[in-house]
Amino acid sequence: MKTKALWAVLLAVVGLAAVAGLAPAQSPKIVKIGDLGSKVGVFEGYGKYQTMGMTLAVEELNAKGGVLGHKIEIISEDDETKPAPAVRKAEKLILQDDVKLLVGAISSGATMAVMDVTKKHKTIHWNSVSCAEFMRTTKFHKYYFSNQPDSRMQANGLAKYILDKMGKRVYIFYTDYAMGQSDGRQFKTAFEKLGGEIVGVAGAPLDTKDFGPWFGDINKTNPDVLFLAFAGTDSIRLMTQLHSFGMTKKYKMAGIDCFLLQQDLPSIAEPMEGFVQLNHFSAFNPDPAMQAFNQKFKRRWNTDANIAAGAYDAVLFWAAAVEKAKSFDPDKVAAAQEGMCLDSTHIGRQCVRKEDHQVVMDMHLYRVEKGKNIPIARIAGADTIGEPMVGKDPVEGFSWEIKKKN
Amino acid sequence: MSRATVLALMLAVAWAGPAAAHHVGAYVPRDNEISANFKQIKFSLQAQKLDVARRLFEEGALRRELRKQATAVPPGLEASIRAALTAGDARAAEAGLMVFFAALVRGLALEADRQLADPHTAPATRVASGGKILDAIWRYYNLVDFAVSQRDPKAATAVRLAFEEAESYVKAPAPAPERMRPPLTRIARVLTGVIEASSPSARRDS
Repeated sequence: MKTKALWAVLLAVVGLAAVAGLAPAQSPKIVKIGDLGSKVGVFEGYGKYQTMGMTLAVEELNAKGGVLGHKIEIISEDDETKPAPAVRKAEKLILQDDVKLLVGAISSGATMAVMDVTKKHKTIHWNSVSCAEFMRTTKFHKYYFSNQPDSRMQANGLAKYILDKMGKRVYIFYTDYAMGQSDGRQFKTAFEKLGGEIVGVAGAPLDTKDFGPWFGDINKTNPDVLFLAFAGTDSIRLMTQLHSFGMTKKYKMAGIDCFLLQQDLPSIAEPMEGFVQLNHFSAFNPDPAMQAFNQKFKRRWNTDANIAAGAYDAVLFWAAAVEKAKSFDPDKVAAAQEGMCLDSTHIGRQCVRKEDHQVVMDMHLYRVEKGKNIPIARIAGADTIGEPMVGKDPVEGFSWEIKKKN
Repeated sequence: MSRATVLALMLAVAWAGPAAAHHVGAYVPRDNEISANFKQIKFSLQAQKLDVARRLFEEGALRRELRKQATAVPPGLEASIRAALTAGDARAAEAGLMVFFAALVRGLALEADRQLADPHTAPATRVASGGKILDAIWRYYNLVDFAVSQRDPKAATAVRLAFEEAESYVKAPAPAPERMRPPLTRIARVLTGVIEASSPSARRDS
C-alpha cells in the first residue's frame, strides 16, 4: 500500500513537472519588426502615423495567429530626422533587436542612409514616406521595397493632368536645394516629354524670406500654371506672399505631395484655395478602399489617417511574403515579395513591380477647397511609374535650359 | 568631374540638406536633460509602459524644471500630468506636457525680448544672446509642435513662421536687435493662447 501511495505521489510530481515544463514551450514565439522615423518634432505627423499604420496591421495579423506561428512585436525608434542617428538606430534594430523587417525612415536623407545598413545586413526594408528619386535607381538593393510614389512618379502624374486640364505653359519655381531641384527637374522632364512648354525656371535659395524679387520674372513670362517645389514653412510663406500679390488668383498652381502637410492646410486655407496637389491617400477621398481603411484607422486611433499610414501595407506585404516563403529568410522573403499583389491595402489592390520593387500605386489629384484636399482625378500607377532604372542615373542628360517654342 | 562624382555630391547634398534646414523642421538642437527626459517619458507612454513613464516623470529633470517654473505655468499642471500618467491617459499626459513646454518657450521668448531691448548692451551682443535663446526655444518647441498643430494648426504655423523670421535676423550682416523683437513677442502671444485653451482649468471648464 505504501509503495502504491509513493508511486502515486511520484507520478503526480512527474505530471506537474511535465506540465510546468510544457508551459514555456507553449508561450507564443515572437518575431520583431522595426519602425524607424521621426517620432518627435515637426515631422512627427509622418513618423507617428507610420507607427499607427504598422500597429493596426500587426494587431490584425496577431488576431489571426500572427505570421508563420509567431506573434509580431513592433520596436519603434526615433531617428531625429537625421541620417546619422537613423543609421545608429537601424543597426540597433537589426543587430540587437533582430528585427526581420525594417520600415522607415521619413526624410529621404535618412532613408538613403538606412538603405546602406539594410543592404549590408540583408534586412527587408520598406519605405512608405520618403520620395527621393535615387532610392529605386542608384541606391536600389534587393531587400529594399517602396509603397511611396517617388518624385518621378508624382511628376509624371501631375504633368499629364496639368497639360490636359490646366494649361500648356508652365513656370517652375523651386527651392534651390536637393528636394526642390529633384521635384523641379522631374517635372520639367515629364512635362516637356509630353509636349508641354516650360516658359521659365527659377530657384530661390534656402531661407528666402522675401520671394517678391522673383515675382516680376514670373509675371513677365505669363504662364498658365505655376509649378511650385517647396516644403514646410517655405511653402506657407511663399503662398502667403503670392496671395498678397494677387498671383494665386491670376495663375493656376500645382505641386507634389510634400508641398504642404495636410495638418498645415487649415492654417493657410485661403491662399491655398484651388491649389492642385498629388497624393496617394486622403481621408476625404470617397474611394471605398480609402474610406474603409480610414474608418478602421479612426476606430482604432480616433483620428483620420494620412499618407504615412501606408506603412500598414508594408507590414501586410512582408507578412504575406513570409507565409508564401514559409521562412523569415530575407532572400526568400524578398523573392516572394517581387511581383506580389494584395487586395487589402489602404488604397485597395496593389502590386509590387519586380524590377525595382516599387508598388504600382494609383494616385489621385486633389484640389484644396476650404483647407481640405478634395479629389478631382484618378491617375493609374501604370501610367506614372516609368521604366525601371535600377543602377541608372535618374538625372543623366538633364538640363534646366528653357526650350523656346514658336 | 565624372558622372559618379556628380551623383555622389548630389547625394551628399541631399543628406546634408535636412540637417541644415530649419525651414522644414529637420534641424534640432542637441538634447539637454529636460528634452531628453521628455522623450523618455513620451516613448514610455507610446510603449504603454506606464510605470516607467511615471517614474521618469517623478524622478526626472522635466518635473524639477516644472517646479522651478511654478509661477509661469497654469496652476494644477503638475497634478494633472501626474493624474493622467496614473490613469494611463497618454493623450491627456501629452497635452499637459505640451502646456509645460509652451510655457517654457513663452518665458524664453519674453526673456529674449527683454535682453534685445537692453540699451546698455552692444547690438551685436544682444543679437548673439538672442540667437542662443532662439536655439533653446526651438529645442523645446520642436518637441511639442505636432501636439500644438493637432489642437491649433494656425498657432503652430504662426510660431514656426515667427521663429524663422527671428532667426533670419540673427544671420543678418548688420546686427538689428530691434527687428528680432516683434516675432518673439508674437511667439509669446500665440503660445499664451495655446496655454489658456489647453490648461487644466480650461479643460475642466470646457
